[in-house]
Amino acid sequence: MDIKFSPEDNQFREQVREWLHANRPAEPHPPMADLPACRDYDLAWQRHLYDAGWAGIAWPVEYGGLGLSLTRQLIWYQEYARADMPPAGTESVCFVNLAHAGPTLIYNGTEEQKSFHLPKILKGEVVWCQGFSEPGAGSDLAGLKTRAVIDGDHLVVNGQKVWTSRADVSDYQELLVRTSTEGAKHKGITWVICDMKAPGVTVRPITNMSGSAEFCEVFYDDVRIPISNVVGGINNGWRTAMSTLAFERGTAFISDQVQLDVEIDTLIELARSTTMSDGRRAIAHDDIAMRLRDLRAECDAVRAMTFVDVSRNMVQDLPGPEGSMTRVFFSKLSQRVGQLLMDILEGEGLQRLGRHHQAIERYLYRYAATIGAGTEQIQRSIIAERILGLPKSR
Amino acid sequence: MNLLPTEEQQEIIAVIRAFLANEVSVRRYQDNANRGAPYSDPLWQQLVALGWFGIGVAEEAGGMGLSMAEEVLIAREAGRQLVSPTVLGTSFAAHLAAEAGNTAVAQALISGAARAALAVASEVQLVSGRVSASLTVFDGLGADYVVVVDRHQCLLIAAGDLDPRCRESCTDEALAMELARVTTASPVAGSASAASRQRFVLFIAAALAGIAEAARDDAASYARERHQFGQAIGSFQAIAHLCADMAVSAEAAWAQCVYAALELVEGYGSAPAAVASAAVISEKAALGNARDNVQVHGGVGFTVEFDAHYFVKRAHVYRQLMSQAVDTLGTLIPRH
Repeated sequence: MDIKFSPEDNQFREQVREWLHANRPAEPHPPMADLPACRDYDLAWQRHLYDAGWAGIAWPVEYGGLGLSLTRQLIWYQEYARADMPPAGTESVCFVNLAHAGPTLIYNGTEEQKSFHLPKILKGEVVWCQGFSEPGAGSDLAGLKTRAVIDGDHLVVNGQKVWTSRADVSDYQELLVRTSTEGAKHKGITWVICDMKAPGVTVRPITNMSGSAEFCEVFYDDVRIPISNVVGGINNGWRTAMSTLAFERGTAFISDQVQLDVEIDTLIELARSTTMSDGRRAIAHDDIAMRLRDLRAECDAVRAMTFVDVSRNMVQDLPGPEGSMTRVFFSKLSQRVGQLLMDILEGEGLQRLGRHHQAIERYLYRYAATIGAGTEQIQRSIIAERILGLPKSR
Repeated sequence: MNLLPTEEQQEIIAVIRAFLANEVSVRRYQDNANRGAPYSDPLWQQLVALGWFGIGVAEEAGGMGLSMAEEVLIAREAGRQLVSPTVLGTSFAAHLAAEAGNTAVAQALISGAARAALAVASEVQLVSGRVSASLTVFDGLGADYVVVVDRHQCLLIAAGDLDPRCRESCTDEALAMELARVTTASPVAGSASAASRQRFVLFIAAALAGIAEAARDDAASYARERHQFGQAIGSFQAIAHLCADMAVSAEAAWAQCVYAALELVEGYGSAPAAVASAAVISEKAALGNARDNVQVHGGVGFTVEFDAHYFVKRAHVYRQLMSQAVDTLGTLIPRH
C-alpha cells in the first residue's frame, strides 16, 4: 500500500498543472441549456486538448491515446478539478465518447471500428450518445424491444429509446437492439453503432428537472445500419453492453468524484462567508457545522474509494463490480452536498436565476446520479449478488 | 500510488486472520468463562510470535520496523473478531514507551512480558508531570499498564498506580470493566505529540472498520442460509439491499482508514484531517452495520445466543475511546 505518486507521476502532475494554468479558455462556457453551443465549445476544447497532447491519457497509443496509466488519468482529473476549467465528466458533451463508448470499442471493437472511431473521439470531431433504455426496458434492460432485422449486409431498426442524453447533438450512438426473440431475452441482443444522421432517426428532447433538455427520446423508423457496425457480434450484445456498463460504473465517474472534493471545499467557504437570516454566519450554526463535518469526511472517503478503485483497475482490463460501491456512496452524497447548499442559501437558493444558479443546477442535476448508469437499487443488487454472493433478488 | 495490500501484506493478513479465527474468534464469547478473562499466557505468546506488539515499532527499539499501513491491517483484523482491546492497547503502549525512550518497558510489551489495557478517562489533570484522573478500564485484569489518550496527550500509567479500582459490569459483557482512580502518579511514558494521538485514533478507527466488515459478513452469511417463504432471505431486496448498504459503508470506512494511515506514514499536512475523517466514517459504519446485522438476523439477532449483539456493544466501547482522543468537528471544520 502506497499513497505516494512516483517522481514521474509528480512530474506529469506539474506539467498538467502548468499547462492548465496557461490554457484556461478566456471565453466562458455556454449555459448547459444551450446544447448546440455546448457541443461547439466542448468539441473545440477537446480538439485543443488533443492538439496539446492531453487527449486519451490512458488510451492505447495506436489509436491516438497517450498509453499512460489510469493513475495518470486520475492525476489529470485531480488537477483539472482544481483549475476551474470547462466542464469535464458528465457535464461535458464528450462524456459518453470518452467514458464508455471509446473504452467499449477499445475492449470489444474490430480493428476497423477502432481505427475509424477512436481518433475522431479524441480529436473532438464527434459526439456519442447512449441508446440503452426504452420506455418498457429501464432497470430490466434485457427486456428491450427495439427490433433489428437483418437485410443483406444491413440491420433494419424499428423502435424507440429514451433517456438518451444529448441525442439531438450527437453523431453516433451506442445502440442496443433485439436481433432475436428466441431463448433467454439477454441472448438476443446486439450492440451496434448507429449513425444519428441516418434516415429514419427522429429525436425528441425532454426537459429534465435541472432545466436543460439534454434528455431525449429517439425513434427509429426503418433505420438501416451496416452490419459492420456491430460491436461484439450479432446476439452477443449483452456481453458488450455489460462491458460498457462496467466502464460506466467503474471508471466513468472518476472525474465527477474528484470534482466533488472541490465542491465540498467551496461549500465550506460559502458557509464561512454567508450570513444567514438570523444574522449569524452559516458555519456558526452547530447543526450546519456538523453536517459539513460529515460531508467533508464522506468526500474524503469518496477520494479514498476512488484511489482504491483506480488501484484495482490498474491490474484489470475491465472494471469489476466494486465500482458500484463507490457509485452508491458518491451519488447519494453528492445530493446531500447540494441539499446543504440550499439550506445555507436559504431564500437565495430559491432564486433560479440568482448568482448561485450554476451550483443549484448542478445540485438538481445530481438527482440523476442515483438513476443513471443503473439505479441505486440496481447497483445494490449488483453489490449483493456479485460481491456478497447473495442469491438473485428479483 | 496503489492502495491495495502488497503480496507481503496480504500474507500478513492471511496469517493473522486464520490465527484469530482459530484461536480467538467472536464465538468464544459464547462460553461465559471467556468473557472478560485475560488471554492465557500461551495465547499471548502466540500473538508475540506473530510479531503483533512490535509490528510498527522501530527495529532499534526492538520492533519489526513496519509502518502504520501494517498496523491498520492488523487492527482491522482485531476489530473483526472483537479481540480484547488490551491487544490494541499493548501495541499502542509499545509505541509510547519506545518514543519516550523507555526501551525496557517497550521491550517488555513487545515480548509479551507486560500488557497494557485501554481506558476512558475523565477529569484528567496533569500537574508538574503527575497525573490524576478517573478511569474506566477495559479488560484490565492482569494488565501491567493502562493507556489513556485524550485530546491533549497520550499517557501510559502503571496499573499499580490505580487506587481504588473496582469491578463493574460492562454493557459489552464480553469485556471486564473497572472504575478506577489515579492520583498524582508519574506516568511511565507520555506524549503530547499530535502524531501519537492520530496513531491511536487510527488504531481504533481500523478496529471499527473491522467491526463494520465482520457485521457485513455475518449478515450476508445469514441472509444466504436463512430461509423464509421458501427461499433464502437474501433473495428479498429488502434484505439484499440492506446488506449491500453495509458493504458500501464498510468499503468507505476501510478505504479511508488506509488512506489516512498512508498519509500519516508520509507525514502529509492533510494527515490529521484524513484521520479525523477515518474516525467519522468508521464509527458510523461500525455502529450502522452492527445495527443492520441484528436486523437481518431478526429475532435471533436480539438474543445472546448469536454474536450480532457483541458487534453493537463493542462499537460503542471503541467510539467512547476514540471520541475522547479526537475532536473531529474542530479538525475538519475549524471555526475559530
